[in-house]
Amino acid sequence: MPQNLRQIKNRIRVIDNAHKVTSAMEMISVTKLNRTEKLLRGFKPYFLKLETLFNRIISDQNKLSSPFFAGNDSKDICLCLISSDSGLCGVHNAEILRFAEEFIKSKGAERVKVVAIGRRGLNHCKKYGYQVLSSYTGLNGRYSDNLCDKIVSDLAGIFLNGKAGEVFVAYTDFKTALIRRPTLVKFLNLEVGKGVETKYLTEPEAGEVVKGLVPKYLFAKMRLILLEAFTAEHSARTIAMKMATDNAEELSTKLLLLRNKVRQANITQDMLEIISSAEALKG
Amino acid sequence: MEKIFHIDILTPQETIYSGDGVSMVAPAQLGYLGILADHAPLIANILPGKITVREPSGDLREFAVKAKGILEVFSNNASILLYNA
Repeated sequence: MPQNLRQIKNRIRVIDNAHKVTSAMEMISVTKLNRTEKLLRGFKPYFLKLETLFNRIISDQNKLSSPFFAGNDSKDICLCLISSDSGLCGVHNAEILRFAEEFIKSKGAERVKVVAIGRRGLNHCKKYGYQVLSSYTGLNGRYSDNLCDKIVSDLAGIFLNGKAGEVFVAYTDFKTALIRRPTLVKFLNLEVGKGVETKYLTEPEAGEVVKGLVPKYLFAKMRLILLEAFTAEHSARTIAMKMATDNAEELSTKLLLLRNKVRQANITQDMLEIISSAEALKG
Repeated sequence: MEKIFHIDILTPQETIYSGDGVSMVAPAQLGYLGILADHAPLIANILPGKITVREPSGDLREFAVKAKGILEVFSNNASILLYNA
């Protein structure tokens, strides 16, 4: 056996420590995942209803002018890029960043302005010299309505001030724990005419209802996007940490067997030496 | 047999009520609003107040609501979507 016993023991200790760390991180991610997933599951039916309602009333009232419907003259595009703050979540960030990169290339890098959510995305944009309008870091996948509100008013401000003619959001869509897909949605300007045209009675009059509804709809849309992205992040991290833990366990079992073999070989070797020297003394 | 229609009351967090009802009374912006089956398509802003649903069994269900929201009635489906309180 080439390795000596002490080296192997050291490696076992190191791997056991790593195992402890990764399994703790796994448990943390699982609780975070459960929390955001519950929020997401509760919210999805609500959003679907709100969206159908919104599309119906908008196609009905498409002459109503809310500044969010009309495009502005700006040729620039704002991309809101949602990534995670920390790594250790497998290909989660790599995928969304590659996806965003493709989008930026297709539109022309000089036209695109970025609002970065998550440190990884921010660092990426800085590295490649994209124009970053604002950034939100240190969230650690924790959703709050406050945060959502800030992001929506930020994006709305960018659009209304004419800094960008269109606002897109790139995020990771959480389909199931195993299927996560980088996704691009158009956030602003709002488009008319996706729903079935319906004549509604409204109370108060339609213009006022739509005026009140638009911000609520934007907020709900961003809330869904953030929840999807955060749930995807946590589920990616849970899986990555689970794999790391499993690997550490496997490695540790292998090393344990190796240690026993080496120890046994050493003992046999010692015995052989003693016996052979005793034989030699007998002459 | 009274006509029934479907009622959903949702918040961003959870579904408060989902089921059939004979009538519903909700606090709209211009005063309390009663809905029966076969109501015309309607959208109304909802204010904080008391939502009352009469179930087909005749029981009354009351929900005290502290948030604003929006009510939609469309082809015998009434949905109340409440915004965050």
